[in-house]
Amino acid sequence: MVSDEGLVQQVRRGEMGAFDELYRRYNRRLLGYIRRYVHDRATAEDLVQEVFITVLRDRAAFGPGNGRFAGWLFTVARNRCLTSLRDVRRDLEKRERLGQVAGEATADAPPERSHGLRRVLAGLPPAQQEALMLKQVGELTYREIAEIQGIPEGTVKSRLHLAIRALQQGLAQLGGNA
Amino acid sequence: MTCETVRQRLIDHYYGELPPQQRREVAQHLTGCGDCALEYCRLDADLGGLGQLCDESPSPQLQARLRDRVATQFRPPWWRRLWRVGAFPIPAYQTALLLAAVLLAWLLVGPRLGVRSDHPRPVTPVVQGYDASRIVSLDPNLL
Repeated sequence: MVSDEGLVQQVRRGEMGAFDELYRRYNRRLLGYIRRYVHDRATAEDLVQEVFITVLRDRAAFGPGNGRFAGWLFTVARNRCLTSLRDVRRDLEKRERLGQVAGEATADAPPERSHGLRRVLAGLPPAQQEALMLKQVGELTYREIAEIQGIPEGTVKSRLHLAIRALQQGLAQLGGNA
Repeated sequence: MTCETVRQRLIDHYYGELPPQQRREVAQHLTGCGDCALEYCRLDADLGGLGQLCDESPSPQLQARLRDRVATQFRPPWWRRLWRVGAFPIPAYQTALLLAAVLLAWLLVGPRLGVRSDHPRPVTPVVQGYDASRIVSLDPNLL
C-alpha cells in the first residue's frame, strides 16, 4: 500500500488516481472533525475542500521531517476551523451592533443535539473536546496532538483521560435516567 | 500488575500508546481478569459510539468539485505530459505489429512512388545499318 506521503507526491505530479485514494482515506474523518467546529454542513464541506487544496498545494512545507501527513492535515483543518469561527463570531457581533440578529437567533444554531453522546460531548471543555476529536476521529498520536495544541505530551494524555472519564460518566448518567 | 494499574493504563492501551512491555502486561491481565476486561469493553463501546457519531460521509458532489480543482491546479506542463506518453512502455508485440504495418504499406505503395519526372526517359538511339567494324575497315586516308 502506498503511504500518504507517496500519494501526495503523486498528486503533485498530476496523478488523479492518487488523489482519489487520498480522498478515500481521509474525507470522512476530516468532515467529522470539521463538523465539531462548524455545524453547517455546506460550510463544513467547503472547509474540507479548502483544507485538501491547502495541504496539497504547500509543497515546500511537506517533507519527511514534518511528520505524518495526517498530523499536518488536521493541523491545517484546525487552523481553518478557528479562522472560520472567528469570522462567524465577528459577523455576529457586527450584526448584533446593527440590531439585525433579533429574530434569527436560532438560524445559525447547531442542529438538534438529541443524541445523548452528542450532548455529553458538547459539555466537555473545548480543549478536552478537541484532544478527544483529534485522537478518536483524526487517529493522531499523543505527540501529534501535542504539536497541534502546543502543549506537552503529558498534558494531552491527562486531557484525554479527563475527557473520556467525563464522557463515560455522562453516558452512565444518561443510561440511569432513561 | 494490579487492577488499579491496569485501569489507569486502559485508555493508553486502547489507543496503542503504551510501550511494548506494558502493553503485553495489560493484555495479559485482561485475559485473566473479568472485571478489567468488562471495563475495557465498556471503553471500547463508548469510544466506538463517539467514532460513529463523528463518521459522516460528504456529498458525492464534494469529491467531484474537489477533483476538478486538484486536476486544474496540479495539471503537469505539456512537455511532461508528452514525456509521459513517450515513456509509456510499449509491449513487444505492438512494436512487431507496427513494423509489419510499415513494411506492408511500403510494399503496397512503395513501387508506385518510383522516380517521376516531367522529362521523357532517355531512349537509347538505334541506328539502323550501323556496324562499328565497318568503321575500322575504312580507308586509313579518311582518318
